[in-house]
Amino acid sequence: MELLSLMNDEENYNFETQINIIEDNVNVSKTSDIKEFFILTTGFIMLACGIFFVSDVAMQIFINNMSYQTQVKIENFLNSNNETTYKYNEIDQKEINKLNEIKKEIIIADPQLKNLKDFKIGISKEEELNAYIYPNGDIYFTKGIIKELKTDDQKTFVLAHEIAHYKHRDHLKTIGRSILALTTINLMGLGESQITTKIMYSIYDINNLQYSQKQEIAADLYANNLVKKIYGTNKGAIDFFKLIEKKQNLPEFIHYFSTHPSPAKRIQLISE
Amino acid sequence: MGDIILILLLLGITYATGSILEKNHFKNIKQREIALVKKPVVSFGKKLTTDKKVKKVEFVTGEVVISGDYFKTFVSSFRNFFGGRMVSFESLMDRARREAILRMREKAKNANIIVNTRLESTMLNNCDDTSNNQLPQVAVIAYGTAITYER
Repeated sequence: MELLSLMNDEENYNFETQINIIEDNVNVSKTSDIKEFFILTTGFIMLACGIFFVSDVAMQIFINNMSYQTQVKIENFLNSNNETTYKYNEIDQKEINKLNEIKKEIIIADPQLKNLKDFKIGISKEEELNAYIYPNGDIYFTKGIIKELKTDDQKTFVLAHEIAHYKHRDHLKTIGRSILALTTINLMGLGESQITTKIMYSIYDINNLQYSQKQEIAADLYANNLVKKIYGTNKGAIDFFKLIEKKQNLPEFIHYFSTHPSPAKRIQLISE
Repeated sequence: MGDIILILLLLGITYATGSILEKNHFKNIKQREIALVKKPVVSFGKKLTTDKKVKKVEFVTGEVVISGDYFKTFVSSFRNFFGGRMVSFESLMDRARREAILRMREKAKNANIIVNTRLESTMLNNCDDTSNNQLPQVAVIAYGTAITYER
């Protein structure tokens, strides 16, 4: 009250000496926004990587120890073979017979495959270069790749690669880790349409690609060993990658954001 | 991947614009505070005893609505997850509060004193609605009774 009455008495109050504009603002923290940004983003990314790492390891242990009966049960439940029916002509039928012979050779080379499914082979009508395996063990080659694969050892490599995916239970691992990771992300309650959720999913996408590349390399190495065992040399594998490299003709950096490693890297890995 | 690049680009731009705007605003606030330091005096107390004759008593308000930029919102959304002081919004609240008081004082430029000053703040967006984009917008209102003495 004393100060107030003093202030009211303007004549006697010398403002100039009393002006005390507070230079140091106590209500605003000294921490800069940029520092805050880096600390929080790093923390968040580390948390995300932790979640993915834990779900990877957990699923790896769980699926590797799963019995084959359980695997078949899950596969029957998941079965999503919606391949459009396509009438094979004589040449296609000849190719399928040829691939079936190769399949028999592969099974002789790796007796462990005998207990697994009878891998049914088919041809799909797409023109792009691809071969894929369904969760139920059906293998499909595209029309495009059939045209390009000239020699038997190349065909062996591609077929062995797809069978390796099944043998390693890659499809179950991919689904399993997605379920675990996505459940955790949703339980974190980041909220839909929030920016944190978007960032989390972007990290998840990149992580998925890395995981897929790891699986591809494992399948490549398995197929490479099989080709070596059957033909004595891995020329078929190298020829196949050279073929892909020529057909794709993409710059190297694109392959960092792809589900498959670059052909050059794959050649290097199997040559070691 | 495209998402991340876009977000980083937006973050860079909004950090630059946001910090320039904030710096200018603080500079502006400081200048006006120095200019108004003599009159009117702001009092948060209720009673005023004076011998002077009162010429005019007036209700004055000053209000401001302020919003965080993309960068601040981004940082705060992480802070929201980990918890702790929301450093990026502290400066925003400080600006809003000082601006509101300044506007109130500017309105009562000829008064000698503003008594019984109060500050109110309110969120403008609906906090319960999680589906919509939540922009951090805050309105700060400063109000009080301006008293002018007879000279």
